[in-house]
Amino acid sequence: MDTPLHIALFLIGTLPITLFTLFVVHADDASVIAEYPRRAVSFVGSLVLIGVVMLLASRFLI
Amino acid sequence: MSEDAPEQPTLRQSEPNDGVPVVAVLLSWFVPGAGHLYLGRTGYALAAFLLVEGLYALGYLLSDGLVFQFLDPELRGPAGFLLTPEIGNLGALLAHVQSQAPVTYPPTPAVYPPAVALGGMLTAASGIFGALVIAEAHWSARRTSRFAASPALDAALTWLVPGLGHLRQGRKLRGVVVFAVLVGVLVLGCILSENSNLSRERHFYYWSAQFLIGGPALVGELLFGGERVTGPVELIDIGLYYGALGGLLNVLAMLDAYAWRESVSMGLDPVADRRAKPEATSKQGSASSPMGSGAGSASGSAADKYRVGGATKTDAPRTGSSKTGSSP
Repeated sequence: MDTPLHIALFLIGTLPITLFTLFVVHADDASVIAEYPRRAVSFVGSLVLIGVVMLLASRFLI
Repeated sequence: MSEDAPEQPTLRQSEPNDGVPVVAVLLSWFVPGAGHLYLGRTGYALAAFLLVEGLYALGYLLSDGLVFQFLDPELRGPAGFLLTPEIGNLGALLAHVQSQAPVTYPPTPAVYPPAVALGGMLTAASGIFGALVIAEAHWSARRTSRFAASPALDAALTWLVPGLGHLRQGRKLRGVVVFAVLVGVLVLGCILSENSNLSRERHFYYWSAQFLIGGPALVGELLFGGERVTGPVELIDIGLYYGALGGLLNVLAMLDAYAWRESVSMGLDPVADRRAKPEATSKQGSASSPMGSGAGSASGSAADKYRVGGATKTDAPRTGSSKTGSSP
């Protein structure tokens, strides 16, 4: 139960981070909406990659 | 510029150059209002001093100056205070830290006055307003007209109520989204941490980040901050994270509101101005803000073409270029 909950909370947390960084980059809402999906997927994917690397490192290197 | 295009906002250029922005910033950082005094704005300087220092003095009195006793003794060194909102009012913070009794071992437990939490909120608010006064001083040194609206006011409104600065700018959708998302994030943090995040005494640094969301955090703490924690809070870590996240994201919202108003006050199109490439700005030697204000000045680039009032303009005058020497 804990793992799905934490994954859900992680995903929820990524959404506003992506959105507000786009607010800084683009002053117009149309550009934010257009770029949001790609930015969100890229951000989540990067974090998942880092997580996997850390898990692998903790399993095999420590 | 095409003949049929609507006129650019006319900015009065008759005023002398106010001063060096960095000097105004440093003066304001140590003594709120000193930067404006340096720039010749005596009235504003006095008002800023009274507001920022008055808040700090009131908070100090209410808390008996014991806010930093919330920190563990080993964290009460000079660097321990750098991540507090009070850093925006550096002079008062340094005086406050100097007034602290030296840490003895074993540390003597402090007896907090009843209003210590409110006092801590006021000193923190003083720091936030101090930072806004600093931003205003930087703007004042660069502005081309004293009639141009100050971006710091929009940032201040966004701190008080997330999205309010955007609404003032007519950006209704963004204002509503900013408010809904940030308040939602804060509420989620409060639910997950069972309101234990609403206490500076328990979570000093997380609280500092959370405080950046402004009004919602203040109201939440006044309503629910006194609740006792009677057992383990299972998701406290994630709750604290969400609360801090809301505050930190509000800083981005404040920057967005500030940059928009700055572009408009300089007679630039805020959308194209934000898109300007940094190299285009630096080639002109007129970088004014980390957020942009360089569009329209790079001749021949895509940034030269932008829309103001529905008409496409090219090579628009950069009205603020004469006072855009540096940025903190």
